[in-house]
Amino acid sequence: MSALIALEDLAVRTSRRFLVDGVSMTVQPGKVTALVGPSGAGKSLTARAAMGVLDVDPGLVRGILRYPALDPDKDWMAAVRGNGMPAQRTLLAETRHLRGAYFTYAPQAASSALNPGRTVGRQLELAIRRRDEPPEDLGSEIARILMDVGMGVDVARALPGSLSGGMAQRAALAIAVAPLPRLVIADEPETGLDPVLRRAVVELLVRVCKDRGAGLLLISHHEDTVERIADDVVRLRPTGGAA
Amino acid sequence: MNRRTWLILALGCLGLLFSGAWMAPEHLSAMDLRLSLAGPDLVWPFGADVKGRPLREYALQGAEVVALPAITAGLVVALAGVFGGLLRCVGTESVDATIQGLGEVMGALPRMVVVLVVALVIPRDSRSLMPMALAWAVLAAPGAMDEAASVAERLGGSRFVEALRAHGYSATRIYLVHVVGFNLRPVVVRQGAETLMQVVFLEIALSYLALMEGRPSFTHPDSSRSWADLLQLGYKSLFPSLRYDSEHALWLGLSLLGLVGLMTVSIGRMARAR
Repeated sequence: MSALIALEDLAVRTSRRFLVDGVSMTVQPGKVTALVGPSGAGKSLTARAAMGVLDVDPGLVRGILRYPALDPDKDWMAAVRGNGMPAQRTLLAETRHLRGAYFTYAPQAASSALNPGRTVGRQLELAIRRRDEPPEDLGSEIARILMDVGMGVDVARALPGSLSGGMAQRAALAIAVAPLPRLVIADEPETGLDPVLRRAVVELLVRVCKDRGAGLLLISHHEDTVERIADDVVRLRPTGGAA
Repeated sequence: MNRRTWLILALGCLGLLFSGAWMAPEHLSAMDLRLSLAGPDLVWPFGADVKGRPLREYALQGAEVVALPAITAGLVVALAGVFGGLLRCVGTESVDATIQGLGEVMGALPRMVVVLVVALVIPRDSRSLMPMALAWAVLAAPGAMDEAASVAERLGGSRFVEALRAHGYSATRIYLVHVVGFNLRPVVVRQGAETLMQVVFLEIALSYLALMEGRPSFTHPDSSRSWADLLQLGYKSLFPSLRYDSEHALWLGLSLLGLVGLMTVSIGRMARAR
């Protein structure tokens, strides 16, 4: 099967220093790829670059980005390298239709992923509608997804502010998998959770992705988590380069 | 009650206010002293004043005095709130600091004194509630901006926008639908509704002040009546020794204030999060 993301020799810099330098990774369908490294190593930046989201000036210096499962030959960063913010904005617009459909993103804090002004059910509904062919019975689909992540149907009526940390993470995971993406990018999903809950959430994430045949790009700085679940590991140095 | 019920109530109250303003007569009817202080049974539906003129016309003219200025002030404050919230999401620190400084200066101004100064500055021939309503809105706007910015801050400010961008939403959809529509809406709509009510009460307070001082009103021409006239006429009925049978005016005045209160609450509730 073709890889979902193939990123080669990524280098992104500000006017003062390199934020990431020489990072390469490949994410395969149905597999867990972990991006590990200490804080400030550029894990989130690398994941965002893999989604076509770059807003650093001058930004992309080197790098090749391919989505082989979509188009094996197209280098999405070809017109962006060395061309600064305007080219990065163009890339952002070009890849917009892929975000939330081809790949979804669960950000570091569930509070950023969940919209506090909408119930979990309404947010799931929006996510499900991003599918190529959304089901007619949205209510039962919402109930099924909530059950998949270990929550009851009543959570659909809850506003995110009324959820505990663990439930919010599960809700964020449900929203990430609801569009049936080929790849889920999870940015430190264990942040802010106690060790028991951390393990449960990560295992749930892996199970749900594998059940649906989706790839998982897991960003983490917990070596024990990564050792246990990852099929491939990409390590970043503190300076932002691949180890 | 659910949001739909509140929406119907809010629209009903707004409809009453505007239809009243639209139907308001330019001048009161001719005097008929035989109907002095007649009750609703004789002069339908609200009774008559001392000179036998229907109180219905007071209610309609009062609605005309407050409707447009109050709605305008509410919209100004709501838009200022939207602006403040969006600025926080864009995440420009210098602009945030400027807005905060401006808010502190405005907040330190005694609002009622500023409004009275505006009222006294306006030439007598151009008396209208609108300049005072706008002055009130401008003074209330920084508070609304600050509260909306706090909501945006709780969203995570620019982090929230980043997360939505990663979900594939366009900038327009993120800012207009997710930030303003889903999250700022409850706050800015409530702020706007509260300002609407404050402007109505401001008008009543200023008109009542003018009535008690025997001066021309600051907010409307002499040919019009305000809801303050109803209260001023009606409160005398509270003192039996005065033998002034004007309780129907008092009830009408208080009912109109209640209607404005209900409108404010229902507008706020209909806009709550879902």
